[in-house]
Amino acid sequence: MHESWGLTGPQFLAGYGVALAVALISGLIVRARMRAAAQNKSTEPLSADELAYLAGGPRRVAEAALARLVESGALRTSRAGTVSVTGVPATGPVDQAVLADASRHLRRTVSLLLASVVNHPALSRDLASALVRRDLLVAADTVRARLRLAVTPLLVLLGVGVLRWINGVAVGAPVGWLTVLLLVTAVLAVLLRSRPAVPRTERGQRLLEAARDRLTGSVSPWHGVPPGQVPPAAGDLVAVHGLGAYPDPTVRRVLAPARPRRRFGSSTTVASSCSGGIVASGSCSSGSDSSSSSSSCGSGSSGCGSGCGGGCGGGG
Amino acid sequence: MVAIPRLGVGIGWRSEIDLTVERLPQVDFVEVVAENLSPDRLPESLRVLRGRGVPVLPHAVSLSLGGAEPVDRDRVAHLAALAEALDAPLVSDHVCFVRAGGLDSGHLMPVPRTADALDVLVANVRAAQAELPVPLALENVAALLDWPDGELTEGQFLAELVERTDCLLLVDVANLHANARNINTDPAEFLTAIPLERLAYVHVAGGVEHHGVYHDTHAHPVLPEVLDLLAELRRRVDPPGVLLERDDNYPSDAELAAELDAIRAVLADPEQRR
Repeated sequence: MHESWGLTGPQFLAGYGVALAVALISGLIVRARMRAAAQNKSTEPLSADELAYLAGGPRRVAEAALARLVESGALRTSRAGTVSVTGVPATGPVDQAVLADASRHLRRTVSLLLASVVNHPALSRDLASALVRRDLLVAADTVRARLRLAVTPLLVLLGVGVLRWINGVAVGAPVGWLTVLLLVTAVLAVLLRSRPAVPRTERGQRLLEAARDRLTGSVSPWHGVPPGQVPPAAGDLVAVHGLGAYPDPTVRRVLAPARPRRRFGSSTTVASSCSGGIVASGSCSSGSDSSSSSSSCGSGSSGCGSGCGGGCGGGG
Repeated sequence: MVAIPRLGVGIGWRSEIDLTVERLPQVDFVEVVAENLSPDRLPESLRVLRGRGVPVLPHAVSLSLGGAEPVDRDRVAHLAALAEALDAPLVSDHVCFVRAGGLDSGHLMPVPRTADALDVLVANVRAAQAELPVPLALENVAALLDWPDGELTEGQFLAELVERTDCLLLVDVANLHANARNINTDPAEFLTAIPLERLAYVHVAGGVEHHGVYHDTHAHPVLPEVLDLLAELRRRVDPPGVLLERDDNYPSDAELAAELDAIRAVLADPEQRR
């Protein structure tokens, strides 16, 4: 049997496999520890905007603001999927930014409004900085550095494997299994390097889950809001669950038209996971059913892509 | 003579405020601009309202019944089809002309109040009535000018029109205010002259005074003077319906609801506005 670098093919493959496992585990640990650092113990409650950012980033902040403005009467919805200003003023930089965008048009299409305002500093940069200061969000620089560190062992391993593969091809040795392992390594490296949509710290995650439980706990899946209790504000519901949780079903259809959205190859759609609004989202987020829990996080947040698996479904 | 249906208090349906109209409390009927709708593609909002039993009344702006040209049968047919699609109890347009010699004015132009002009108007109204499946109500317009050599007051002119065509009347109190302000007509004389028993409903709308001229904008709050005229009318007759028109610069739902409440308050107790 041909031996390059003093190793037979099977010996190299075995060594590579072990190294791959070690590199992957170390990468996962680095990735997980990124969320852990918690120096700031401030117990100040989350603002509605901060809660929305933690739940779904700038897009969710925009959705929550939209819900608040519609509920307060500052924005009027129409069945055409548009909103228009009514002259009722808004308070706070986020709501004012959303209202300013809407007021530039006679009738502003909701999807275009959301796409436009997510880039406003009040919804993105400013909130992210505040959350980083409070140790609820991992700073973007830290995320980049940690992910680079997490993926480095895999990349080194991949480099060694590629050299072995070139050598194998050059000497006419079989490289079929090595090719498979290299592809697996490459895929794992891409996954490990992927940035979470909202890089919450563990503390941020806990606060988000607490808020989610508090909001969901006030609404029964079967009976709605218990007698004597004030229903949760639309802005808070949308902050944690997305526009699909807007309490009024007609307005919900206008703001968040049901459209099939595939998630991790499943056919679960936003509409089916949250069709009953908060009533359904009782099972959406708090329940033990992990499939409904994870599908709830897809509602409304387009930023909830492949990277958010761990954090987004955390309520389940 | 057909009985005039009780309509209650309503608001003009516009696509911009479709959900608002659906959700405002106690909207008894709505009115739609006929030219903006197609009978075979009614907006979902109107289907919802019809499903609840809310009457939807088509209101036309383009028949140009006061024009010297024969009435456009296609426009009448459209209005008729819409009335049937909406199962409307009546339809309406204005005592005005909007085109002449192939040109559109873009405005509801007042008709000269002469015997000749009345003959033309009567002929056009009868032609339209012949093609319509439901009664036709005609509305007084806001005029920024008065044609010379008028032989009748506006009230007398409308009374003659009703006498000769058996049409219904749609009295716009904001237009009455506009005419009183801009061309010095007398609203009390108008209300005395017209046959109030032929009143189908009343329009109330907002406007704004600018450089001494009142503009019937439908984009501003209803002025107290207009509500005073509604009270004056209410003291003479219990109108089958009163409708708030708002076409632009839409305020919050709460403000629209407050304007409807103000109308209801006047109808319940017109003496409060003495």
